[in-house]
Amino acid sequence: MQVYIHYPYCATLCPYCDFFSTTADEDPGYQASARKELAIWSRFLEGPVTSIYFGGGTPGRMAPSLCAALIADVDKRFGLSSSAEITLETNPDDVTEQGIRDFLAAGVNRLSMGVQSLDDEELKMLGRRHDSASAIAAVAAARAAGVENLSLDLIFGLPNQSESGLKTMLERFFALQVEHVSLYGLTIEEGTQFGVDLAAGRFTELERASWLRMYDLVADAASSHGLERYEISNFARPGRCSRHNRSYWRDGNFVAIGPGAHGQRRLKNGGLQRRFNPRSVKGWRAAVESWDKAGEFAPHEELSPESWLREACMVGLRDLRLGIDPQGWARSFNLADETLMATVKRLVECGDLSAVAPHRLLSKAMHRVDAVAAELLNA
Amino acid sequence: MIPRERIRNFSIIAHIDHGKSTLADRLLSITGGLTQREERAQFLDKMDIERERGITIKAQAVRLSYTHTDGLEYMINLVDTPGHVDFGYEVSRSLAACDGALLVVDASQGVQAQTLANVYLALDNDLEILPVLNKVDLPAADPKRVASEIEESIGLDTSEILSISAKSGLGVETLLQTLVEKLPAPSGDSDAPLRALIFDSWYDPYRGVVLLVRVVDGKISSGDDIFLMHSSSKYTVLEVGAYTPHHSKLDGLETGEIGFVICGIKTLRDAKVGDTLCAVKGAELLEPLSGFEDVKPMVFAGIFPVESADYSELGESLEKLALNDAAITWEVENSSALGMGYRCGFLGLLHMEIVQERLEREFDLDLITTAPTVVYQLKHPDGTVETLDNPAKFPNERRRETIVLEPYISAEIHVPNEFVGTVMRICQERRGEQKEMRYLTKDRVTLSYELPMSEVVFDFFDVLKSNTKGYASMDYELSEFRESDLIRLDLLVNGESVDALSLITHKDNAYSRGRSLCKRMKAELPRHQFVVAVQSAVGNKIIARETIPALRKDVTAKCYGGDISRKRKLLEKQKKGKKRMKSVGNVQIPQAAFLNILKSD
Repeated sequence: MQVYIHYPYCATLCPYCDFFSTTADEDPGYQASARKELAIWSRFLEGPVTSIYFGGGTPGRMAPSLCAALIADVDKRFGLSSSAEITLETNPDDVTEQGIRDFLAAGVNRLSMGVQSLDDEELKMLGRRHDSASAIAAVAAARAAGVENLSLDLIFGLPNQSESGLKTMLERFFALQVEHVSLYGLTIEEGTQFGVDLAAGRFTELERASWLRMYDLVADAASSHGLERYEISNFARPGRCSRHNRSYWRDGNFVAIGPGAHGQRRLKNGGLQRRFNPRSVKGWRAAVESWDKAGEFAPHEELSPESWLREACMVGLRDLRLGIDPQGWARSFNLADETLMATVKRLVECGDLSAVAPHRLLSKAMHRVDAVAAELLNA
Repeated sequence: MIPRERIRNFSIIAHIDHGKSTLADRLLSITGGLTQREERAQFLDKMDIERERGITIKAQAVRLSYTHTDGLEYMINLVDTPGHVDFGYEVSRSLAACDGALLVVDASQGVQAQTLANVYLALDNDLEILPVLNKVDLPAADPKRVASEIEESIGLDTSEILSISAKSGLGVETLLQTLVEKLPAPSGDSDAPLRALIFDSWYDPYRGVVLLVRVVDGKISSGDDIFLMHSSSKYTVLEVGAYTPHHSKLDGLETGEIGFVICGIKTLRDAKVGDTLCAVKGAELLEPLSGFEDVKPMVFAGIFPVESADYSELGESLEKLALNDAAITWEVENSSALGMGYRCGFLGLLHMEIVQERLEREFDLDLITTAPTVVYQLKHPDGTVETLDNPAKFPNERRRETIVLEPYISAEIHVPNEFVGTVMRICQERRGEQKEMRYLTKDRVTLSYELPMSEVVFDFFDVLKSNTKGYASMDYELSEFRESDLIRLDLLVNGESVDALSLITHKDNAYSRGRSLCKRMKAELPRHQFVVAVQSAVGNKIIARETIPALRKDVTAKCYGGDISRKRKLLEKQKKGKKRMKSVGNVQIPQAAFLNILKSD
């Protein structure tokens, strides 16, 4: 079982970010609502918790004492596994060596840093406050503070980005010798600043072919630096895969704390019940209060076992090592879905999936992961 | 048998929603025509589409028996006319079958343009008109004001105007009495040779074509050999009768009576509304009844199957549909974007929608209808005139001497004076020319405009309604073809011209039309895996462009706060959307886009 805690506060908003975030000051009731929400979830789910993920926003800007209190609460309510992965997202310009020490002391054992690029022009375009030098300094500070499991975010696919420019930047990026890299191919979302700029014609999106070549460039660079592509857009040294990332769908149970967070619980028959938090601090706090009064799980969405099975295939496809095992999963919940199995068989025959269960996405289908996922989902 | 003096043939003239069908139902139930079980709403509108849309498409004629306070039994024939401007010709023939009409006006809404147009039609046919105020029991009713409006705008004496509520039945009994007293009995010569007016017809799968007729002179009986004067075809009468409202067989129909005739006609094309039915013997000596017109389609659009394999089925379905719709025309159209389909002609936009809906509903076809267009004329230097019903065929490069003509309509728009400015603006934007402005009363105005039909055909009426809080009403008729500076506007999707999306527009409007076309297309097109560019062009010149960004390339490192549902919906949506789309190159265009591009922003 895992816990996701959303801390929405940021110093500035990034023009590409589609998570819920705000530049307002922390709501004085944030801590109380988050802790109350943990308490409510504990009525419905049991531990032990194997992963806590502080996402955002910029959770690196929260008080280490708040972080410690929340971790302690998770332990108190659910029981925290001794080997639990506890990740904190932060930005280079929010990193200080002492700050990181405090977070480590609070229980954090993995840091995910939004470096995004080491090209100063690109960083400016992305609306980041840091430059490449301060990003490199932040990595050094984290190491000095004792972070052993460090993940960096990397963005590619910016308008006007060239493949050669990307290559040069990647050399410097992988020279930082981190344990994990999360890759983000820039996509322009409606409702973000980039979406507005694109619609206004201030720039054009990269062509798909070029975008895909860049994707491959990153994957090649990662592997030549000893990072394995274990997920469609995540790379890690052996043993350093993000546990949180890859168990979203396998476990079935995860607690969601904070505005915009999504949580779910597994039903005995294999189906799922989901709760979605409002994307505003005020709305979320009110929702926590009314949930507390309601006393029931009150799901916002309910997934039948059959729908779950297909959705698990859709998400599981991204995990290149674990793959998907629809036959096995169906057996464990007494499900029968012949059309899905027929589709799996067809995908195996045309070389998109490996032949033996668990079926892994094969390299030739890597660029079409969404199309393959849609086929399974809509089989 | 009821003597001719005790026959009353009348129809009800009313604006949509002013209560015509409710009144008809009420008359039926008072005279005992319907059992309680049958008194469902709007009995007379038989087609599903009619009932759903609350409009009458086909005329109906019901024979009722009514005993007056004078103790005598009267035969009352109620002719229910179609209620939409698309079917104006049918209305005029239905009225020609009557001797009188009830003018039903909503006591709160007052006289509307369409009502007025039909009143004039009735007056042209020498009908006695009996004004009636309906919905007088509603709080907003203002019978005095509306009565004086009727008096001023039409010139009818309203001193004895009837006030009723068709819904509650209030005053309807009195209405029946008055109707018998005031409306004239039919004239005609029962000793003269048979002449009957066909005022509507429909196809019945068991009986073949059913003709609705008014016997003007003479008598028609089962077994008679008859001749249709305009179609020049002979038949033998198999059955005559009347609707009470149920199908009731009779021995014959006498002078002045209204009823049906079944004589083995196979398709509606052979049963033209307005035609004169007479006996075979002596037919050559007779004059046909006046007022016959061959109905011509006014609006054209392409109808294509979404699945090209359905092309032949579409053709067969059109054949079957035409059994029951004499007005539709079609010929094969080949579009490079949409494949094989049919170019169809309709009376108007409502007719087009009805045809499309019937094809999809009754024949289970998945269709794409292209934007409707009017018929243009090209006058070549050698004097020949070419008619053009398809924008794709409009020549981009034409000889200087070739003249393009477009159809104009004369429109009468009826509106409260507070909206006069708005209506004038709308008409002006659509190249309208004001002809006249009349005050019907101190706060109701009739505007007469000459407008290019192409500007009116698509959503003019909707725009008019929504800008006048629903108060404006309109009636129009084709006036003439005028020379006009027209050009073809093409739409390009990723550089490829899509012929089915071309349209014809006035040169002065090309830029604004091009821009709104691209915007509209952008709104209609789903995102693809690649960027899609939509451009509009006149000849080789691009005049507007919109870009549709590519679909999210989904390799995001994390699920958004655990939001798997969102990803699922994204992928699910892509598939569901595909069903009703047409591929043009590698771009998927939704079915509705072909029609919606004409909508105003």
